[in-house]
Amino acid sequence: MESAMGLHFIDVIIIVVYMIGSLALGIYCTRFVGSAEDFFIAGKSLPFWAIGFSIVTSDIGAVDFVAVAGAAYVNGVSAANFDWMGSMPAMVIAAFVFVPYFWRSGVFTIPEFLGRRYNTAVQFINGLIWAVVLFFMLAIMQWLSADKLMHTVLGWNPYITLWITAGITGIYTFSGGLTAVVFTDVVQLIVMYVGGMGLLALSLWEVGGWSALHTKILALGPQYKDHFTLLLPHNTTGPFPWTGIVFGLGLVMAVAYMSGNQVIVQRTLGARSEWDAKGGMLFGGLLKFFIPLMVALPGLCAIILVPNLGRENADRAVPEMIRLLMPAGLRGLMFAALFAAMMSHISASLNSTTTIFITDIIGQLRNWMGKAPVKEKTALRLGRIITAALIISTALLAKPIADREQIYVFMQTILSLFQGPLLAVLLLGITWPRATGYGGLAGLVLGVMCCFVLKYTPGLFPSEEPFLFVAWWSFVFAMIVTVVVSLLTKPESEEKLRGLVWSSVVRDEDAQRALNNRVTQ
Amino acid sequence: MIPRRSGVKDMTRTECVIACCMIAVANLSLCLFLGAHPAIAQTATPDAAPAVTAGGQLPMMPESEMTWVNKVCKAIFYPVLYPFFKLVNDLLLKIPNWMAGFCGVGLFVCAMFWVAVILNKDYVNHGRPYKTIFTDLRLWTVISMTPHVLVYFYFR
Repeated sequence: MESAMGLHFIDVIIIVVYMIGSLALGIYCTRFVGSAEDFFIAGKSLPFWAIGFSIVTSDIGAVDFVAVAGAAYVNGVSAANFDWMGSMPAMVIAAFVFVPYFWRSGVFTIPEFLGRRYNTAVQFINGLIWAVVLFFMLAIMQWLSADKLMHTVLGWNPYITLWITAGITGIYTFSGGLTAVVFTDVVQLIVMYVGGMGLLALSLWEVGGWSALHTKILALGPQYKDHFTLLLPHNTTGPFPWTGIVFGLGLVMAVAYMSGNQVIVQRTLGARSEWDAKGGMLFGGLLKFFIPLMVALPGLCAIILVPNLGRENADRAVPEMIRLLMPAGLRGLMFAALFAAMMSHISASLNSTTTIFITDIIGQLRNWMGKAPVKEKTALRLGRIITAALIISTALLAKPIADREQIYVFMQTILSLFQGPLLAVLLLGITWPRATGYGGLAGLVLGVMCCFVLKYTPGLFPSEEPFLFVAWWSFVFAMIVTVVVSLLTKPESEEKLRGLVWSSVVRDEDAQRALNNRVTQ
Repeated sequence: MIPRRSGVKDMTRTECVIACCMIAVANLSLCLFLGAHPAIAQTATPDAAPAVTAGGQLPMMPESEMTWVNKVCKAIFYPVLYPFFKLVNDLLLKIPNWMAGFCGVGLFVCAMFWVAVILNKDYVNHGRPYKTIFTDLRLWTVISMTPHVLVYFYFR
C-alpha cells in the first residue's frame, strides 16, 4: 500500500521506529549527566570506537549524501578527495600533534586552549568565528536537508521535516549532552552504512558493474574523460586541481578542520584516555574511507541512470536514484540513513556551538567584566538553555539563511576564509615556543583579511572556485605575520608555556608530570 | 604500570619498520596487479584543456558578473598581487601530471613513516590499556592509511 507521501507503509514504519529509537537512546543518556563536564565532554569517559563512529557521523550530513554525489556527477571522482585526501592525513596529524595537547590540558574547547597559549583576545575572536560559522551552518544544514532532500523525493513540507528533526535532535542533545550525541551517532553510522552500501550495490548492479560504469561514462564524450581521475591537472577550470587538493586541502583545510573544528575535536576531549583520543581519530579515519564509496560512486552511476539532470540539478542525483532503484522497505532504510546523517550532524554542531558559547563567549565576557567564572551547576543549566535557544533560532532562520547558491562549494568557501589563518595560529602555538600573544592575534586578524582579499580579487587563480588556493595562501601569509610579529614582541614566560608546546611535553618529564597534575586537579 | 597480556610482546622499532615494509610491498604488488588487470586497467587520459589563454593571462571574471566588492578588490589589489600569482601559476604549470599522483600518495606515505618510525613509541602509545601489538597505534596508522594509498594509485 503506497501512502499519500509516496512511501510504502513499511518505509514509514522504519523511519518512525528509527526516530523514536534515537530519541529514546538520547534521553536514556540523561542519567549520565550530572555536571557541566558530563554535558560538554561526556565526563571524559568515551572509548575510542565511540569517538571514531561519532567523528564520522558528525562530519557527514545528509547534505553530503546529496552534494558530494552532485559534485561527482559534474566533476567525477575528484569530489571524493574531500573524504580521502581531505581526511586521513589530517586525522593522523591531528591525532599525534594536536589532540594530545587538547586532551592533556583538560580544556572544553579549542579557543580555550588558544586562550591559554596566547591570550583571551585570540580565544574570544576564535570562539566568535566558530560560533558564527557553526550557527550559520546549522541553519543551512537543516533547511537544505529538509528542502533539497526530503521535499524533492518525498514531497514532504520542508518546514514540517525541519521542525520534526530539530525537535527530536534538540530534545536528546538538551537532555544528554555529548554522551547522548556520541551514542546516538554510533547507531546512526550503522544505519548510514547499511543504507549507503545498499544504494551503492543497487546502483552498480543497475549500471552493469564497475567496468561497465567506467566504459559507459567515458563513451559519453570528452567532457567526461577526467571523471575517473582523482588528481586533476593544475590548470583545470573545475574547483579541484591537484595543487589545490594536495596543498590547500590536504595540508591546510583538512588539518585545520580535523584539528581546529570544535565539532570534531570535542569528541576526543571526552576520551577516557589519551590513547583512546588518538585511537578514536585513527579509527574515524579508517571508517571515513568508506564514505566516498557510498556518496560519490552513486553520483557517478547517476550519470548513466539519470542522464538528464544537468549541472544545475546535479544535487538531485541521489534523491532520483533512491526514487528509481530502491524498493519498499529498503527505501525506508535509506531515508532512515539520511535522517541519521542529518540528525547526527545537527546534534554535533548544536552541542559544540553551545560549548563555545558558554566557555569562550559568555565565559570571556564575564572575565573581562571582572565577574567570577560560572559555577558548575549554572554552566550545566546555561548549556541546556542555550541548546534550546540555538535549535529554535536556527530552525526559524533556516530558510532565509539557506537561500544561497551551490551548497557544497559555498560551505567550503566559508570555511576556507578562516581555516588557513586558524591553522597557522594553532600550529605555531603548539610547535614554536617563541610565538607570542600579539603574534597570534595579528596572524589571525590579518590572515582572515588576506583570505577576504584573495577570494574577492578576480583573475589571480586558474580555477573558477579557488577556495583551495585561498586557504593555502592565507595559511602561508598568517604564518609569516605570526612569526614576524612574535619576533618583534616580548617572548612568553616558560611557566606559561609549560605543557602547551611540543618540545616541553615530548622531552620534559617535569612538564608531563605538571600537565598530568593539571588534568587531574 | 600498563598491564601486559601474557604471551604477547610489544613491537620494537625494527619490527615496526619491517612490518611497514612488508605492508608497502603488499600494497605495491596489489597496485601492480590492479593496474595490469585487463578488466580494470585505465587508459591514459590527455591533459585537460588549459584554462590559461594563449596570451598566458589567467582567466578574468566578466565585468557583468563582478560585485562591487570584486571591483574594489580588483582596483586595489589586482595590480599588486597578479605578478606574484602569475609567476607561481607559470611554475606550477610546468610540473608534469604524474607528479600529482606522486605528491598525493607521498603525503600518505610520509605520514605513515612519520608515525611508525620517527615519532617516539611511548609518545604514540601513551595511555594505552594493554601493551600488545593490537593496541599499537603505529600499526593502526599504517592499516588505516593503506586503503587510501590504494585508491590514489588506482584513480591516477
